[in-house]
Amino acid sequence: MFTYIIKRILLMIPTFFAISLMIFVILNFAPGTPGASLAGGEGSQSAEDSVGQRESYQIFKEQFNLDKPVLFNTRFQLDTATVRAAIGDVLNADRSVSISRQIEAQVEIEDWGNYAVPALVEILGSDDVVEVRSYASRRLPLNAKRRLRNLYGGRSSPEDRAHNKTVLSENRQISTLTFPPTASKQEQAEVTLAWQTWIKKNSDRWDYTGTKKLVILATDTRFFKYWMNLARLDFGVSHVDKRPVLKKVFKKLRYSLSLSFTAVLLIYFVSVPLGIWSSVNQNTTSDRSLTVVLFMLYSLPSFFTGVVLLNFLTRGAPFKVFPTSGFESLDTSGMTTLDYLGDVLWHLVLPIICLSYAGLAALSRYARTGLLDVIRADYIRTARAKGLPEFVVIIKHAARNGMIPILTLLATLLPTLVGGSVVIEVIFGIPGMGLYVWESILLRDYNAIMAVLLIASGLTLVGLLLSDLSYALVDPRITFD
Amino acid sequence: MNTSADDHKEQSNFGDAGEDLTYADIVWGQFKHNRVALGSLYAIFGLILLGTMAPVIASNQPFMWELDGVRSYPWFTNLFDRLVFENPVDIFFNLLLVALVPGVVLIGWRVTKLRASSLTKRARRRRMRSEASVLLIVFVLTYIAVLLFPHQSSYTPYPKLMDRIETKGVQQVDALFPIFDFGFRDTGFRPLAGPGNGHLLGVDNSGRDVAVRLLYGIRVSLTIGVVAVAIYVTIGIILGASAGFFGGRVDLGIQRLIEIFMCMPVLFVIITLIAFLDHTSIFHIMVLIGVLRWTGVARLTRGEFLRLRNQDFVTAAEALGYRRRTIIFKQILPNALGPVLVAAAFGVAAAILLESTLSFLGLGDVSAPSWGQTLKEGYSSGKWHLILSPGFAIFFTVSVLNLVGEGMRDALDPKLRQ
Amino acid sequence: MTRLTRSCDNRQAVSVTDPNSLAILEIEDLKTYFYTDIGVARAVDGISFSIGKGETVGVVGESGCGKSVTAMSIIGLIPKPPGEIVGGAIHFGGRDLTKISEKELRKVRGNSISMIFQEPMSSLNPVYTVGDQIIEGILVHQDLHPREARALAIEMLKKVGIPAAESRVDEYPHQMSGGMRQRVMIAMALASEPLLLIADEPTTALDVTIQAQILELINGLQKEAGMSVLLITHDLGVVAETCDRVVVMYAGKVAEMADVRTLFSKPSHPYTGALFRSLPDISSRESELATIPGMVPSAFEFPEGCRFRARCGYATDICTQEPPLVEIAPQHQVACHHHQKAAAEQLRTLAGDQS
Repeated sequence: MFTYIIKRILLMIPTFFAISLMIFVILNFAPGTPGASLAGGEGSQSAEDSVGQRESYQIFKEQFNLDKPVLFNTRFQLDTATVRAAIGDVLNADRSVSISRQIEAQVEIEDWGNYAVPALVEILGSDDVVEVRSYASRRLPLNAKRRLRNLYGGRSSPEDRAHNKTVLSENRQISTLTFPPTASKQEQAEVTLAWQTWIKKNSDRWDYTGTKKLVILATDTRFFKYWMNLARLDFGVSHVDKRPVLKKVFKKLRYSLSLSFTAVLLIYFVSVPLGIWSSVNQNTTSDRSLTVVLFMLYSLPSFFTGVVLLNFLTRGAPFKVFPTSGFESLDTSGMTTLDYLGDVLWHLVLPIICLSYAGLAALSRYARTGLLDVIRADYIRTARAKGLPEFVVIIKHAARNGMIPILTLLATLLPTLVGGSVVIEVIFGIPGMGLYVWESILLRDYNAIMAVLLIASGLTLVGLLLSDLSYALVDPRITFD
Repeated sequence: MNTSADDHKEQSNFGDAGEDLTYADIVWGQFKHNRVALGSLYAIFGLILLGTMAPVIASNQPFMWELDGVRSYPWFTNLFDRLVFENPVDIFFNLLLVALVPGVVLIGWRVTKLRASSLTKRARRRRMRSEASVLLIVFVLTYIAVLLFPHQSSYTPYPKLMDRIETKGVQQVDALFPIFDFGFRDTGFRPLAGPGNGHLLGVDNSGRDVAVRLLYGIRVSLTIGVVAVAIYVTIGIILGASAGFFGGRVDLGIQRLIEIFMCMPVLFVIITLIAFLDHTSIFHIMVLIGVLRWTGVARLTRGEFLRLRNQDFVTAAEALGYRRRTIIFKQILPNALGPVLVAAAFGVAAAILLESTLSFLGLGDVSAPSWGQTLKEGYSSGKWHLILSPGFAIFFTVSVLNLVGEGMRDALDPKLRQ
Repeated sequence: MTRLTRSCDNRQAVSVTDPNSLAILEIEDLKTYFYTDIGVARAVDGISFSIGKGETVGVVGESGCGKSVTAMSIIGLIPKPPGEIVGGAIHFGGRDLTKISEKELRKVRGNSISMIFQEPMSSLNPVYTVGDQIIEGILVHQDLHPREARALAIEMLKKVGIPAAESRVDEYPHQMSGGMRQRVMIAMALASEPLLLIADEPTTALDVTIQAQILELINGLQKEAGMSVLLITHDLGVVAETCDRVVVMYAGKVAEMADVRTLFSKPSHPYTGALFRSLPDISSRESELATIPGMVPSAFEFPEGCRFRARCGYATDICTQEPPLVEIAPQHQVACHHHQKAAAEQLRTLAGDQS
């Protein structure tokens, strides 16, 4: 049994790996890069919005290393000719290149980052066209920039901060070393020389030894960095407040979990007795009407009931029984634990009802059919023949067997609950993961969205594991091999 | 070989067994017994009909427009006007609408003719199937043609024009409008007004008539449901059948895949994917749902294939030297389809729920008259007429589909056979 | 056929045919009907017989003749919504079991009357250990400490011949074979030392070799405890091996009833004769298996008069009247108008077989 648990937990890892892989694939090959339309200037968004989205996308890009190649990084081989061609496309002096290619080239050069520096310096020194040289000079400070460490989220150590200080001053220094196409020959020569000296000074940065090349090839890629970040639980920062996303999501977790957890409990504690009662009173009028009611509940969309209940019971027209939104009242400082619990419960009644009634309806019916099958079984007849009282027969013998398939339904229930919580949290303003992800979409906070997705998947996996385990616990016929 | 003599009624070898019943016939017969399920099936057809007839009921283009003795029929060309009906889904339904009357006449004529002939039931069926496929191909080709050659014309707001002309009183104007002389996009009514005043179900946030939007919304919901389900049923059957039939490593691999996809919270993943799209359209939603929800069908198919693979009729077929493809498609698949069809019925209901949830969250197709969108306005405005009507529409459609699904499930259950 | 009569002869005579032995169970004109949407099924339509102390009574007949329903009626396990005991009495322990309350009946069930069933594979609850299930039955009827109950359970397992009972008692049903499970069922049934054990086709689902073992076991335990057994079966071979008296049922009524040797040597009801004839006999020179033409009538539509009429070779007009159950010899009752003719002819066929 113990080995079974260990095995299942170990199995979870590759499944999570696979899910993350799937998400990675989606991330990289989904149609349309967000913000791409912004580069073209489209969109009915206001200027700030698009700036904000651009910035968010930049942070996201950095976090998920979208500027790097997907699998293998051979940029250390970047030669002058390629860079020159790209610059040519960007400048598009002879209008031979389409606008989309222009933009593409621009992004290319941006993405090449550090790797393009040697080539740029060479172009700076040797190219004929002054616009090209000027462009190279303007690109150099940007491409030669060094990354700051742990900029956000207050994760920086003293070494980090010292390092960042030097890097910042360096970056500032080289940012002045540019010249426009109209600059004088002298200015151009100065800048060119400055760069050539600078690159000699920092030549170790671009001295690619064999091992270094190998390391770059494998690790300076999206793929590798993605897993590294995952392993370090580094989900990046939200562009909204520059704080680490993971912390935020974890804060929201407790709200979502309390919601889902209570919902699951409610579902099981109500549907099982309901199923038992239904099967015992099969085909009576009350059973039939219950079936109809349950069926109707199952077909009612949860957001519809949510909105109806919200309107009906909270806004004061006609009733004001429950609070309009939120997990707890605004002022909880003066409350005892019991008071607090009561307050939370009062806030959560409606959301939990909305979240669980669909699952309840479905599970009750499954419980009913399951139990009906079980009641017809031979061993129930044996139990009766032994002279056991009927309720013992039903509860001890029938229910125990009937519950087994229902536990497996937990596996299908969980993803639905996790998803359903989004809508419910939005409607009732519960500050959980669902609401957070929805807000993040409106704000285009991509890091946050990815983090929530990965965590939600992880949670679902854990839930499935629990359901499997409970199934194994309940049914002794399960052999673990 | 079947000679034409065999096709015509002769002494049946079945003796007193009566008609030549296929498995589908038996299931259908069982289904018909269930009055609730049958009623629901009719309700679905009613919905489809209603959705198709939407422009007949509500459109701002008159059927007939006569100005100073000059007649035109703007309604008909408007049906394929891409400026008005941007969405290919609308074009599909409009084409269906146009083809409806001639189609029904044609089918009715062929069916009566075939029934009157002396062909056996099986031959009749075969003939009807081939003729139906021809019809279908013609329809699809016409649809593609219409899509490829979009037609746009200048937009004339006929109702307003009519009012203006009539008040001026200078010209002679006569027009025949549909029941409601406004479409699902026409704004300009008093926003958030309740039912009444010519608006059966009130007006929404942007000044559009709710009833008409719900009516056109039928098209959106049903299409998303059916197409998404079609996608994932196909994926599911292919993967499930491969797993069940070939077994071994193929099976293991596909099972792992199923596990992975099952672990993903579907709504979350769809939301994430939508976040990366700049502009969600109906097709994105259909494809997303289709690509994520195939696991249920795959499991079912796999289970059925595993079960049926070892049955004697398969071994017999293999012994007779049938090709593998034939065995899969002609022998096993028809048997495995039962539970899949049940899952499909429930799946359409679930897809419609999912789509309305997405629209409710504002993540759906903003340009389509989705029911969820109207509900969203109900949520933000708190007006009852915007809450109850789309909610009921969703509830009704989903219930009816679920009932059909349950009816099919009961019809397929051999234990319940009467 | 000859083989069977020989096996009857080889068994020791039990004082069963002694009319002075007290009947522990007496069924008097029992009628159990099922009221359904499609009509009334008269599954048991007036049967009477008794079981004496220490006696093994076999009830034989084709499927659908009402033997299982009879057994279930005795301990009141007929599903009450469609089923109902509409007439007759079941005398046991000085009471009429059809008239007592459910609560009282439960005290009898598993206590003084126990029942074992046909399918050992599914008759045990898969999620509880074998021991749990036996102990459960014990604790319901006997005032024992759980530890004592467990000891008793282990003892019973030993008695029914399960090796390593101390460890087996904690096993689950799926860890045991069919034969062992049936033994567990027997252990469960006998734990409270019942006066009557009803065995509904206990060996039908088992291999032939296991069958013999189980029958022997029941026989042995019965002798040891002085218990009566009501054995329901369709297998005449089993009847020959184990029963003292036999009741032949057809279509809800008793066709013939006699002690086993008489029945096998002088079958007087056409149905009984037909049953015997349909037994495949290796020594027979016949190349085709004899069957009884036609089918058992549906319990919803029993014909008027003798229910075997449609399939009987001796049927005449008088058979449109219900034949009464008459005693044609001590302990031998038949319900047939033409029993003499049938008996005579059947005797001749038997003699022919022996030549």
